[in-house]
Amino acid sequence: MTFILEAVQVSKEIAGRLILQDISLSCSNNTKLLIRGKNGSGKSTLLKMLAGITEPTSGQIVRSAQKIGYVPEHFPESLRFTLKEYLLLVSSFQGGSKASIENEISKYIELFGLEAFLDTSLKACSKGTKQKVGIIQALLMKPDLLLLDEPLTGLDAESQQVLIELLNEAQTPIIFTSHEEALIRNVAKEIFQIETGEITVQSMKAVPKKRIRVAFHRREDVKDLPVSQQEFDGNVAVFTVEGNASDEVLRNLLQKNCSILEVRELT
Amino acid sequence: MVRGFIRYQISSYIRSLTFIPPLTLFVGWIILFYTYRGVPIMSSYAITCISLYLVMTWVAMSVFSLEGESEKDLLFVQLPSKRDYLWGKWVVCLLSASILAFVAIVYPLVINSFKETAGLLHISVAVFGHLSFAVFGIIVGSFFSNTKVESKKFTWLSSMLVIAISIAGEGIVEKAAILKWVLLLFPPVGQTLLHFTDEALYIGRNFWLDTAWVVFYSFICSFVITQMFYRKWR
Repeated sequence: MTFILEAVQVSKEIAGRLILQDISLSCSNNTKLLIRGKNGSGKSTLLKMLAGITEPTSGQIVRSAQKIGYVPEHFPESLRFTLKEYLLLVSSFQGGSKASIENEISKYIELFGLEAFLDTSLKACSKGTKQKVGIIQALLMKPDLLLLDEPLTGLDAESQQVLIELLNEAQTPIIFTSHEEALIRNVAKEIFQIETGEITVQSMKAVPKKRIRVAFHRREDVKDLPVSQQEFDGNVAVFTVEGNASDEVLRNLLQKNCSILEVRELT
Repeated sequence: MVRGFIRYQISSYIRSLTFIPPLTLFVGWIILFYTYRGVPIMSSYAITCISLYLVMTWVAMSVFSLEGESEKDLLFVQLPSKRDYLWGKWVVCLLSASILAFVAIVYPLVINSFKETAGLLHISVAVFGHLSFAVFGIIVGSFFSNTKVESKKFTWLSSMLVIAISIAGEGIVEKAAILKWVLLLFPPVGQTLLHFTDEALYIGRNFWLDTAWVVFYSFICSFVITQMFYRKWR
């Protein structure tokens, strides 16, 4: 098996404090690895080391990945650009024609519903919008490896769903940290427990049903959806959907310009 | 690739507005300085060189402190290498220096401030001098921006001390010759200024030797700063 990235007995000390000790993990082409651990256990530090932002105090990280996409837990607060300017500028670091860059940006802007914020200063954007920009800048790099630090933080339900779908469809190996069950269950194939250094394979659990509350314009927009139960109250519908079918239902609804009011997991 | 980053840096630097104080001070000083007419050419250029040295230290420190921690982290991943980040910063500093040097050299010519007509030799030495002093300023600014010491007070004080010692270098050596070797560590301000003479301006062997030393010094410093930068951000 060829490794995109391999960390061998990596330790990290910051200001005399040992943050990580003897961490070993590897990442191949089909890795979807969740790094799990308590607060302050060094998950973000490990991701930063894997991304090459910081170097380990001891041990070695070997990368064959040419391009790494990194989504930080906290997107920079003080960027002096508008949303579109920023994405255009950082995409230009990778080269490529302006037209192809603009096409790519438009695709993600539409996907995450950011059209209204294109000319808004990033300083003035909400936390969720900044988080989406953080995700888009990483995707625009067309990375060989994607590193995501709590990527769902601040995202609305609709965008969370979009991101989960994107990550599931992506052929790119992914290493991420998250406390969100939806991301863990839907994306992770393996789980790396940072305190013990053990990797466990994620079993495919039965995906629980979801309750989707949606506002629609025309009744025929919400017809023939693969739902197990449906209730209507004026222009608002509540669907109960099998967990595996929820992505498809949400996609259909969004395509028909319906507004997703709520997505809730039924336990 | 780095071109994109240079555009990013220039936009960020302009929008940060931190360029206004050094630029205003420098341009204001040039205008004030040349309110006197009939001034000697090379001595006047020597003074504007020293001003550029100070201002470029200031500019370099501002350019190196443009980003917060998380923006820097992102840039390290987005750029092909950390070296591109450092070089991008230096290019922005050099561009700023070129503009300021242009103003310093051309303004007195335009308003006809000098007592003689400036020849090609005067202009060539002036260009070389201003660029050298700009590089010294960038070296001092980027050196102290890449130390592991976090205190801004320390970095400003240290850089001002280095500038003062390097300008006063000749005088220090006259008083204490033993310090001659220690002063090799400081930017070769004295060697460069020696050639800014109004009496017998010529480009001879000594000029080329001093130029070689300035180039060698700048290369060594850029190597040392690169290593410091890698150590700081590893």
